Amino acid sequence: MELVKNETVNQNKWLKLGVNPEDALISKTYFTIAFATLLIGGILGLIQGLERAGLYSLPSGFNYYQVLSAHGLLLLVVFTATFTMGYQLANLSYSFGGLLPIAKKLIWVGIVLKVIGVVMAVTMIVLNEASVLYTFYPPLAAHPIFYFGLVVLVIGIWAVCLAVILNYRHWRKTHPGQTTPILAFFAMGVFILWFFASLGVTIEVFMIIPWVLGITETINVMVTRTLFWWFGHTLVNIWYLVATSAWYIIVPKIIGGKHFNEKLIRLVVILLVILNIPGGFHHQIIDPAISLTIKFLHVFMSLSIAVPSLMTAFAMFYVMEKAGRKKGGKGLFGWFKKLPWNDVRFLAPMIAMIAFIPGGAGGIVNTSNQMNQVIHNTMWVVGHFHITVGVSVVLTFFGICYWLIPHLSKRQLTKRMNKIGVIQTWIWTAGMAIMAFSMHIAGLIGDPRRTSDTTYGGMEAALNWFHYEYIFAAGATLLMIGVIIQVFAVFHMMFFAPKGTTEYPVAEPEEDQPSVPMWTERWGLWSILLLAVVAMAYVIPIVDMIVNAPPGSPPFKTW
Amino acid sequence: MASAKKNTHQDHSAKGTIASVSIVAIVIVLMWIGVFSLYMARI
Amino acid sequence: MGKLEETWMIVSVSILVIFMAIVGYQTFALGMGPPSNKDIIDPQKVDEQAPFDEPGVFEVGENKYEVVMTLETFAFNPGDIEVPVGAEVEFIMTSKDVSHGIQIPGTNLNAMVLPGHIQRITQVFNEPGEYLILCNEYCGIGHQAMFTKITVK
Repeated sequence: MELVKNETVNQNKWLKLGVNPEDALISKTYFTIAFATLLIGGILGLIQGLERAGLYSLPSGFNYYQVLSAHGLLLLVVFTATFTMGYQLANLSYSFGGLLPIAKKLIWVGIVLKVIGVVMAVTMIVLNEASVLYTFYPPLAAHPIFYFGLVVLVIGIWAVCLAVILNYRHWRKTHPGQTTPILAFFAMGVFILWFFASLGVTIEVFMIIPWVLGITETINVMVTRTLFWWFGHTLVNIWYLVATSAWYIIVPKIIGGKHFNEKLIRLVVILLVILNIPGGFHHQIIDPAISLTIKFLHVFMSLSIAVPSLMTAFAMFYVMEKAGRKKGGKGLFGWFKKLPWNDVRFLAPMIAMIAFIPGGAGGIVNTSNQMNQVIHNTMWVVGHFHITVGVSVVLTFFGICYWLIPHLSKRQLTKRMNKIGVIQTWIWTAGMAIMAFSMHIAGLIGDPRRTSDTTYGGMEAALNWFHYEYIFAAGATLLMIGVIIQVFAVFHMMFFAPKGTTEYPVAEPEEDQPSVPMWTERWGLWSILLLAVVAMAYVIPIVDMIVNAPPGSPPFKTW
Repeated sequence: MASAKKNTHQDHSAKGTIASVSIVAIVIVLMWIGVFSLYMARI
Repeated sequence: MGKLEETWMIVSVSILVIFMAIVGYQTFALGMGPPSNKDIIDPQKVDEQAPFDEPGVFEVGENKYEVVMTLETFAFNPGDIEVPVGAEVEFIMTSKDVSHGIQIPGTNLNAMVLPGHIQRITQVFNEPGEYLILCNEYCGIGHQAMFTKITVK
């Protein structure tokens, strides 16, 4: 009974998005910004790779750290956030049969604010007034406009969060007794996390602004660092949650299967939302001013984030094995060969998921307390986030493009474009694999991250790093080719591919599944639990950092 | 190929899933032990 | 399916618990925890306060040394340190300006050195040779030039 009803609702939604050009325009606008940013950020990445290997010198007036600041901000914040929003809002529109007018207004306000904010921040970086890197740790002090830009950017994000929450509440009100469609549930998780994640960095920026304006003389360095990572690591998990929405719901449909038990999927989302924020502390394992006991508590908290991911690993293999066996796959791994490896919509997220095995394992290493001393601030970390963000997240995003963009622009995914996508995916995979692998190894033998080309006075240890740095450069070159193909593919599918329709591949549940419990929809409760976990994690160390604070630091511009 | 196709999937085996997650566990353990050994060697 | 998944979760979470037990035992029973010193200092008056009014290498016991060190853009003071083979060296450090990091590749010596905070970390140097000491936290335009060495002989 329930199922039948869902089916018809689904069909209605199906018709509405796609014929609803207004919502499609929102997503297409986000994707345009995202892939323009990817192109610029990718070029900056290549420049860094070549500079680090000593193969290229920047033109005078520009320096490595400036390029790195822009690369980090553009790709880690702008590309991922704009893609996330374009994709999540499309999912929401699809699930709810269109966005509310008020939500649409808020989203457009959000887009405009975000663009203004990013332009402000990036302009300061280009003018060399804000070479403070992605982390902008005080007492490095950038131009005030950089921070104002960040504020405007965050307000822009909040506008979208508010839009999503309003839309969600409206749907719940008009559909009493029904659980929300699973993709909308994911979207709610993503935006709740966005909101709470950005609280940390907002407080930080509001500590910094009066300080760079000279209203306050000094700043508490530890508190700002800690607040940064409250945001910084949660951001990582927002991308990850977005990627998992495609793994759980989109991939099964593409491989001709059904999605995993919805109750467990929802549990994974809820756990990721509640447990996430304290994970930031493992970026501070070798900081002073945090006691060993508190650090160890956070080892536990960081490792607990691995738990929903371990559940995901099982669920995804289970779903894939089932689909592969249905297609006649035999033996232990016969099902694996039956998966549609020539379909870019599957291939890209599949490689993304495989990359998360070493990616997640590396994360467990990073957070293992004193073992962090082996890898902290070395190239290992750069390898780690290029394999997690650069493959697990980004390749999932790329895979989504090949159905979502033609769907939104009412065009077709042609065989040829699929082929281009497959080639792009393999180039990307090869580039990231050699780059991330060599970065991991270079890090283990001590090569520091975030450092401009140097021989360290010809010291022996440093000479060994050069071999690996050439490999970074080779990987970066392949990735640049990948970026160009991907950007071409995105805009081709948006504006030039043949007209037609493309499926929105949303998997259905198994037939014999129990109904989804309503309690999973209690976002108020999940938010309170999230805050409780944050309080548990942060109250003691932050109070300690404030009460036992040293005299603060004045601003410095050291570049 | 087509003859291998079964029209029922009730007998769906999960041994591939077990093997796959075991590989995940092995990667986690090996990577951890690798870095841990390096840590111990550098004390 | 439920049963299998449960088994997987028990096995995998147990692995994480074992990892925690190992690093936890080392941290709390063997004193091998990460550098976490909690002493503070006025970052604008580092030169006037003991022990940083007199940075240097001090022998404090049998083949035990203390290195009292200040970090600033873009230098370690003292630089070019010398210690005998097998020396246990405790580095006591603070920053005079922005955030820095200290790392000696090939060892576990890796710590953040932040203004206002005094960081301590100990390393035993068993192999003779020249070790690179470098800053691994971005500190400004000359970050890559912030390095020195420690000679063990």
